[in-house]
Amino acid sequence: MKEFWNTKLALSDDILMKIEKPERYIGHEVNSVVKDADKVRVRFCMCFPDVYEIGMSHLGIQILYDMFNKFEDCWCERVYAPWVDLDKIMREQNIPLFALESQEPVKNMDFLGITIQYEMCYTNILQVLDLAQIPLLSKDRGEDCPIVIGGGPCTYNPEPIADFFDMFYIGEGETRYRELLDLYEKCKDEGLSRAEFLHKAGTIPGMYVPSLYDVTYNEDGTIKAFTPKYDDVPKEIMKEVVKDLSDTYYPMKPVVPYIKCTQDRIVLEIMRGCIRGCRFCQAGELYRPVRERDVEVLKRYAVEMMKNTGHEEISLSSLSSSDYSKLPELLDFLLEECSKRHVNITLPSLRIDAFSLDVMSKVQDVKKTSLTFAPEAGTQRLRNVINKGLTQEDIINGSTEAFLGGWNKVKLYFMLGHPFETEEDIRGIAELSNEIAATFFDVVPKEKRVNGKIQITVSTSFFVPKPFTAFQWAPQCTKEDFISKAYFCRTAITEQLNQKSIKYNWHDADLSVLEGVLARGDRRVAAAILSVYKKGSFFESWTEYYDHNRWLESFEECGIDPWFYTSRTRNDDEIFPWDFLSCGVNKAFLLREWHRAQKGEVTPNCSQQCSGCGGAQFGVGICFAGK
Amino acid sequence: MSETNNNNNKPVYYDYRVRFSKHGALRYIGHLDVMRFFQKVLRRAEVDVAYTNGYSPHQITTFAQPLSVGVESDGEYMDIRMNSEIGCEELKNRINNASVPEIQALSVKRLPEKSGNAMASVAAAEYKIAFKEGREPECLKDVLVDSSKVEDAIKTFLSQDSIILVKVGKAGPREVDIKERIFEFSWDEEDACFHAILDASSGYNIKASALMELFTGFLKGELKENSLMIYRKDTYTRDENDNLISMDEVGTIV
Repeated sequence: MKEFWNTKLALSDDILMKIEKPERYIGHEVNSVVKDADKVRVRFCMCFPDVYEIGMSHLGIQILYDMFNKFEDCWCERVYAPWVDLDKIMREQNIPLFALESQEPVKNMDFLGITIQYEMCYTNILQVLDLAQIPLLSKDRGEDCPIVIGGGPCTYNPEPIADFFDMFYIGEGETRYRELLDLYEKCKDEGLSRAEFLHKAGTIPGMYVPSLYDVTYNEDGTIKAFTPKYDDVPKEIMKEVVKDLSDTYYPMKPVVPYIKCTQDRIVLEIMRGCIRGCRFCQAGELYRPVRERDVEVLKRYAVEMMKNTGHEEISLSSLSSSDYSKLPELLDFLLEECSKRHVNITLPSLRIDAFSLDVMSKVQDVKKTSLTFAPEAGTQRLRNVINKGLTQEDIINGSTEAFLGGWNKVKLYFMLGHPFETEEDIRGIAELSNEIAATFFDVVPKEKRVNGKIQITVSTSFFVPKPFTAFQWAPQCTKEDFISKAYFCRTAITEQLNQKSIKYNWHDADLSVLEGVLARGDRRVAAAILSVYKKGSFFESWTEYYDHNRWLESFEECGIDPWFYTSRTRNDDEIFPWDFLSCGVNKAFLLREWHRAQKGEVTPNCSQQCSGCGGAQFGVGICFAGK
Repeated sequence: MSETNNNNNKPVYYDYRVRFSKHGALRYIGHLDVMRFFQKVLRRAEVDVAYTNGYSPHQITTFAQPLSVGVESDGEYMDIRMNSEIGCEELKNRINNASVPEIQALSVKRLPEKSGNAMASVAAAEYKIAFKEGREPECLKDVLVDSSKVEDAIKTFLSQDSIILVKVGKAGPREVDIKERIFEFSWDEEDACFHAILDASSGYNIKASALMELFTGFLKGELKENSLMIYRKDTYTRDENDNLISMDEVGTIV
């Protein structure tokens, strides 16, 4: 039939008509980039190892996709983890994983870049490699295989997945990829081998090539030494940092998907880093120093992106948007520009005060939205331990203003299992929640209460210590501890006067234990990841596909004791698997913070006083503000 | 509604009908996603669409009969309400510049004030249907090689007293006689495919695949899985004399 178009797709019509959401695999999205393969020198495939709707919502890939495609000699494409239905078909029919734009096999590309955002996607990395028909272990890869390079927050402890990657890019991607591609092209011209390229790549700042380093262990299983195999390879790898956020790559034409994605909106990144220094928070250390994007630049980006995407929503992104110095100016601009264009603004979690409540009431239906507080701990004592600078007074004052403004839903986020937590601290969660409910009944007269009620939702997650935080020395709670803490919390809530207004949710404990092993694991953990994948596990961040028993079996088979990585007490002078990397924040500073935590001492935030974390060595950002 | 005219307090708006195509890889995009796609197209096109009020304003558009996934078309319709007047050609160009090659506006008409909206006024749809290579049902293999045999088979099929389609709805399966609602069913010799005009009115829509299933069943055969290539050529409404006319024939070019 002549009207039917003949379109080149990697999957047959039979497959596309059979699987869920074929739109995940057909490419052709607005703003996706198609280049002439014969006119580029480097083919780069960027992967987010989770399902399309999650991966497409990630800003980092959009930034790098835009950057790579601005390079004339490079064509950057995207690939996501095929959902279980297609995964099965691809294995049965031996269909190699393909990039969305060209629909050509990933294994034919020069690079496969994988962003690693959370530990629970590690088995999906193996799924992607496997479907791409690329050997799972770096050492088994031949000259024709793409260079598999990892990036993202989890690469700050890359050791549990080091065997699966040829190299890692540590830090912000905008700075060194040009240099890396130049080197790659040069090596190709000179006919150098994969190993020779990787050796040279390992000397570029920010690049970590696991095969260039040896690890030795003490008898007790801790690390004895981590040493480069060659003299020209650095002992310590410093993360890469963008010096000027207002003068770098930003995706003014992000790819617009057809299906509804998790983030179906424009994302405007207003700053990187966080001044707060909460001791449990990894992101707060990794992205130091705080750097703001110029407000005029942001205004221009916002308008440009609205024109180029047609999205009906825009949201601001940063670790702590309330700390952005020009937030009122930016929001005023957006309120006006967005109402003209009928674009909604979704606000990130702002500190609840008169200003944020005013803005919120302008962009949201007060009756339908809830206030969010993240006190993280139930008592002031424990909040001092974790250095969370939010007081009960802040919360009660914020709630009072909000209740008077018409809000009647509150969400509270806490963590259970912080170091030095006592039963008193857990009871504090219940008491604080009760206090908020009481405040509502105090300040809102009966006739003004919508449905006569206040709804408080308390959620607790279990604390998992992460590398490059003050708590990297802390023993993690066992599964049994976690569960008894959650029960204690639930009981404490039911004992409150206003318990009927409080709903309590808590997270899965098994997952938190596993996350702990992967977060602070070393190279030996890789065997268990490989084993559990071979037993059939992936998409483990989806609870229906998570099988804890398989992990227990795999740990057993590989001779790995999860407790060694999670709940063991670490000495102050232990060498950690990630110590050869640096995020700029010194280990000595983190240790000082760990000791201050034990004493419940608060450390001022970066805008109040410099605590000498080491972030100033990058020479930019808040460290030099006003100097 | 949109802004009001100060003189008589009547809302002032301008309705347009857009005929558009859906081809190639985008035949796998579902109807809801096509609607979402056009919301974004209209924003990118920066045209003066009317919006509803409230915290989440949405554009005032209506779509004609949804197209099944896997079907290609040159006869899709969408009505758009505008706050201000725009030339049909300009609207078409703006949409096409903001869209992709697989989905393009083919024509734009300004609708008269009291025309029914795209969804409510649909009466019929015209299809071309062919079998994918090697997927012909056994019972048709010998028939399809000879046009006159196909025509005879269609004639006998249509000469039945009733043609019963089992529709599965919310209240369970129910039998409906669709004989009077197959407005045309014939063989296109030149393109070697079936040609059909079927009722597509709201609640009475007959899918092209359903017709082919009945036809094959009548010949004591069965359709093979995913064996049809279906192309929607156009969608029809009725004029004041109850004749089928293309939805494109309503309205004028301004």
